[in-house]
Amino acid sequence: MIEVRNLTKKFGKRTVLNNITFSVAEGEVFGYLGPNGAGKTTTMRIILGLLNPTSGKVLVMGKDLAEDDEARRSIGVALENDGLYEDLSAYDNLEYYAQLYDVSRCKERIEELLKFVGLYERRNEKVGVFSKGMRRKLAIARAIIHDPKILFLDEPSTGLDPEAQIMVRELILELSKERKTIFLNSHDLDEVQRICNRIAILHKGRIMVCDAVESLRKRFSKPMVSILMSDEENGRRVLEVLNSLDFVSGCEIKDKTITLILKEEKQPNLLKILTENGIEVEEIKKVRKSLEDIYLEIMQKEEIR
Amino acid sequence: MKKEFIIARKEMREILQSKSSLFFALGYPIFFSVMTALGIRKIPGTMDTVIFYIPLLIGILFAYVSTGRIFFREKQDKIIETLLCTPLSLKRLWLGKVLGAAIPSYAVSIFSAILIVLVSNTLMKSLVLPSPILLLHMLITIPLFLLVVVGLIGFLYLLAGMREIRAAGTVIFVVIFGALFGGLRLIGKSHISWLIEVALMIISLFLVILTGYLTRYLSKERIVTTIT
Ligand SMILES: Nc1ncnc2c1ncn2[C@@H]1O[C@H](COP(=O)(O)OP(=O)(O)O)[C@@H](O)[C@H]1O
Ligand SMILES: [Mg+2]
Repeated sequence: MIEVRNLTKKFGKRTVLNNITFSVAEGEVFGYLGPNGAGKTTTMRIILGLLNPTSGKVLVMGKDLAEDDEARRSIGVALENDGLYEDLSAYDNLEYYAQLYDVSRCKERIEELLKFVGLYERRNEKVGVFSKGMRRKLAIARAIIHDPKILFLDEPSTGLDPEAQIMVRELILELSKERKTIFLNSHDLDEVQRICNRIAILHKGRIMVCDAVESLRKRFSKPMVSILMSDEENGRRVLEVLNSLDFVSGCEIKDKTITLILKEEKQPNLLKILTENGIEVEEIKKVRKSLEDIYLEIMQKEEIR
Repeated sequence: MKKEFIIARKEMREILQSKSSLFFALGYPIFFSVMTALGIRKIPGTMDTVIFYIPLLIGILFAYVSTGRIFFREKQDKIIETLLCTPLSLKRLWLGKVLGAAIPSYAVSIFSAILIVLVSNTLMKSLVLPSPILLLHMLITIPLFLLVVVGLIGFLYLLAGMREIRAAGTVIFVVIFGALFGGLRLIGKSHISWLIEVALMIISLFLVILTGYLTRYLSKERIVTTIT
């Protein structure tokens, strides 16, 4: 449904997105996670055709939303601003967008959505008197008024009180059950883990991790060992040796450091096995990183900066 | 054109629901027409000049206020970003908003012309009506002129950064009024001839076309990156 290939965006000399590639499949709830300033909104704006990429390609259902006006019928958006008019009533706000999208049986659709987000009783009140949570719910109703195939949400629960956050999340979960494809920007790992089935973590314009929530959980819940070798010459052979061990489920090598993912917590004497195979080791240490740890690291780096 | 009118209708609805806009829409015409009607009574033969200037002036004043609401505020509030994600093209969005400001401004303009005629005739003993040239003025020149004013200011609001907009708005306002009062002094109290009227009409038609041409310089990226 969404294809982002080698996307780079610069504002002047500043590179905000650096060679980003990912795709979102139909029916997927995709969490685009990153601290403030990571480039989430910029990515979304480029996908929506509001900004032009400096280089790279972005397609939504095979089309470029910047060029193809009609293609924008199949998307709905709830951006940072709710896109609502304070002087108009909840009903009139929805009616305006329904007309812009040529929604048929307009009145029924509006009433159905007002009930869906629990604002039917207050449909004739001006949006100006609504709380933030109510507005956000109305914004979501507004975004799906024309029954779009893909829904884009930019930090939908940010700035809401905890109760409203829960309501908005439940609303999104409800929508995901209808097999809508959802692209969700968020800085909240917990939220994304609850709602999404696939996650990309963005940091300073680069994608750090991109995988299904389940496999990320598996990947980051296994015990890991990091080995610092004395020299990096025989890397290939080291990998061969390690991969042949039955308690190792995965192994990555980078310069002099090897990261081993183990099948279980307890492992036979690794140091002995390595030295027996003629691999000189400087240091072995246990590492255990959960998704939370990784994201926390990213967030902390961000704060120090 | 259907979508443009949906937008225009929404804008007009908002104007109608705002007390300050309504106050302007009724206040300007009433104040100015009573003031000028008193003048017409004192100086005979000035009806045409008054009808030539005052409704246009009031229309432009109202257009200026509405354009701020319709273009500036929606950009400031970032609502425009959501609208840019609808199937509407940027140009149609612009046109819809231009109509949404120009139509009520024109209504206010006509309202004030009618008021001027009514009030001055009530004050005078004999019946005085504007000459036929002024019909052309009211029916063609004024609406064209209002389209230009709204179109150009709207265009600038979309194109410029928020800080520049505040400065630009004042400059435009001063330019328009400078031009109008300059024209008024130039013509003085001489009566409005067909030549003047037709010349003005052609100028405004040219400006309408120019404004339409300028819209090709609008871009979504430009709008989105000038929001902050
Ligand atoms: N119009 C712009 N001009 C210059 N820099 C921008 C602009 N928009 C965003 N940025 C910068 O790009 C970076 C990413 O911003 P953004 O995409 O809004 O991040 P996020 O949504 O993840 O918080 C930020 O450092 C921001 O300052
Ligand atoms: Mg953002």
